[in-house]
Amino acid sequence: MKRLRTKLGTRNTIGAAIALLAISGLLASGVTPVAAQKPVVIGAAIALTGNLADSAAHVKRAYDLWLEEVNARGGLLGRPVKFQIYDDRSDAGTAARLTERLITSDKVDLLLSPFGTAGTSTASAVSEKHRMVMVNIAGASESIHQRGFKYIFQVVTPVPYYVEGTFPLAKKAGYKSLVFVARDYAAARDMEKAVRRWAPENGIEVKMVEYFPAATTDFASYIARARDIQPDIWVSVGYPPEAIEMIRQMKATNYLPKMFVHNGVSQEDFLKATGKDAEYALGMSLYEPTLPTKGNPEFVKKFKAKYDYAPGYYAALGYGGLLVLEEAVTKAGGLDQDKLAATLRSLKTETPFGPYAVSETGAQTAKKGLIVQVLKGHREIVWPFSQKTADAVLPMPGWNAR
Amino acid sequence: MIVRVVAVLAIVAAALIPFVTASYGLSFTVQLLTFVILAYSWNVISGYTGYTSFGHTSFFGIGAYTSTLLTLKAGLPWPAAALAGGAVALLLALPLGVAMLRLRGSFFAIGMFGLARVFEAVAFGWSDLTQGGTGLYLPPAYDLRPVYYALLLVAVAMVALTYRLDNSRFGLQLLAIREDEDAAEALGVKTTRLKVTAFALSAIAPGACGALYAVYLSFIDPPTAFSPATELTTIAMVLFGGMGTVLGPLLGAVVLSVLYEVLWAQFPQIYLGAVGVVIAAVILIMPRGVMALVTRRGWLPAGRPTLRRIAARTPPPAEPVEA
Repeated sequence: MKRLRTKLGTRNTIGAAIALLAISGLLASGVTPVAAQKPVVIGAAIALTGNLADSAAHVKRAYDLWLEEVNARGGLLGRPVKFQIYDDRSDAGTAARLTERLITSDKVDLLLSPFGTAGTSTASAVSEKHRMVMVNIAGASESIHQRGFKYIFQVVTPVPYYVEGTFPLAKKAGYKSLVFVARDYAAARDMEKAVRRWAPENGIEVKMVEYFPAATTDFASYIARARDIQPDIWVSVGYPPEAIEMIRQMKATNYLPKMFVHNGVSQEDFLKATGKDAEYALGMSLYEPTLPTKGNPEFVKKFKAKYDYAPGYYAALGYGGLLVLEEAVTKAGGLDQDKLAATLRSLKTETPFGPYAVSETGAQTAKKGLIVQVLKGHREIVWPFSQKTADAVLPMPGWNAR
Repeated sequence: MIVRVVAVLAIVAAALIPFVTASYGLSFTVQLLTFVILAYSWNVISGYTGYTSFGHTSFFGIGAYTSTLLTLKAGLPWPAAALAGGAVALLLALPLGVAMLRLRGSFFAIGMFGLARVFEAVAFGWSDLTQGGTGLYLPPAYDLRPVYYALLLVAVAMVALTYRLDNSRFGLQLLAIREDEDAAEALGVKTTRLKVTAFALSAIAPGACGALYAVYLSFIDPPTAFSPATELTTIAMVLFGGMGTVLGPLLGAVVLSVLYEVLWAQFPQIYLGAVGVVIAAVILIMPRGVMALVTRRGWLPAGRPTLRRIAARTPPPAEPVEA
């Protein structure tokens, strides 16, 4: 009994010592300005699950890379930076609700848009209501910036410019007809307008316009119709999983247009999933690791070292968007949202993703698109001609001619 | 008496929520009320009548689109548009009910699921009217409180309606259909008319609720309007609480909504799995829902008090028959 008591006594002593240490630690840390060290919290609802999750993962990786770097260089406004990220399940309604939560319940200091146009549309209505600046990372539709909102600023290129380069390439190859098969979302409707404007100007007839719902995986009926129409060009806009399925199903049915253009081709996922069949596919791209943009070689190097693959435009968007935000916050000298909005409206800068400048409505005006082609397993820039790293191989060699 | 006091207190508490909570709390309760309404509506046709519908979001979506289009094109204020959403859902449910309720069991369930997909395809395809996958934008709702009260009103009405139904001849007849439709018909229950009535009744509130949800979100597109996730969540809530009970849907909606919310905040990656486990556990351990257990243990009186009183009344002694 006595021994036990001594034991307890020892333990109590140790406990007291630890408590004392802890208290003195607290006191000591109280000497350094704890209040000033309160982290700047950046909030975002982003698709961690659902049909956009694979694509959004690239953006998230770029966020994490930037977070490491910004904290290594002393944080924002001298304060450490922290993310508060929620999963919006690739659902626009959930994205809005989570944005509300980020603003009113978590009281984040800065906001990033959800991934994609639909979520950005709903979430920006919420941030606008609370007069919070939202950096539109990947919402490429013009409709987001046509609602008179004052707190949303676009980093991504507006969607018509994705497709622009298709036409000079097609004209050069002497192509005359086009089908447009797109995921049914706002960005695609914008692109359709652009296609209908630019195609006739280049002597190309639009022979079919079809929309498929989100999460479609079977494109057999569209391929069958294209086989009937025999268009020179197939243009699609959506996300990489759709591009992957299209190419697989085209190969399975031994069909290939002379020119297959899809923005999904420009992500690493496409190359990985389709392997050799990726060859000669054309991608609407916004960014390539080879671009001579400001800071790009370092970004590519760090990204590759951390994640073991070269960044595509989704990753570059995430990284570029945060650099724009970082610069604006530093310039504004604080987190006042109105000041920040004014700064973002007048800011002109360049990131690895490319130049940033916006119109009165916050729509990106400086950054245009690229067209790439998969050649020998790598994406090569084939348009703009001034920036090309290879000449386009057109028509794409058929499946049996490879 | 106690029930009434509790009910009144609950309504008063719900009415005060907008004054004590931040706008995220309000946003959460808007979502919660939406599910309460959907759960009670689903309970009428599937819980009481036994016709398991996997397509009740059809009415939710129809209501959302009807009201949004009326607001945008005809400039109707949202309360009127919400009423119109409910009315259109009702008008649509009558002929649909006549057609769909010829199917029984799993055929009805699959048929309803297909119906929702058809409506979704129409919303996608009719892009002149609905803007297809781009969706329709309403001006953002800056104050959610009016929407909250409208939803609260509909939710309270649905609970009251279910209480009435539970204690009525109509409700008993629906239960008879659920237990054995042929026997019920043989006993003189007008099954077709009652089924269609129940179906139509179960469509009104989702229509109005869809309209209010569109106002809350200030955006509607086909995947949001006809979401299978909304449907399955609703069904899970009623299964959890107890099908064909007065308080089951409320319990299910509250518990599962809170669960979603908590898991979301803490473990966004595993919340779907965790909710799946909870539901599977409830189905395996309490196949008739939590309410069945609660009444069996005697923590709450059994349902249908009025009918039970009538049944318990000793019949008057038979008149002596003159020989």
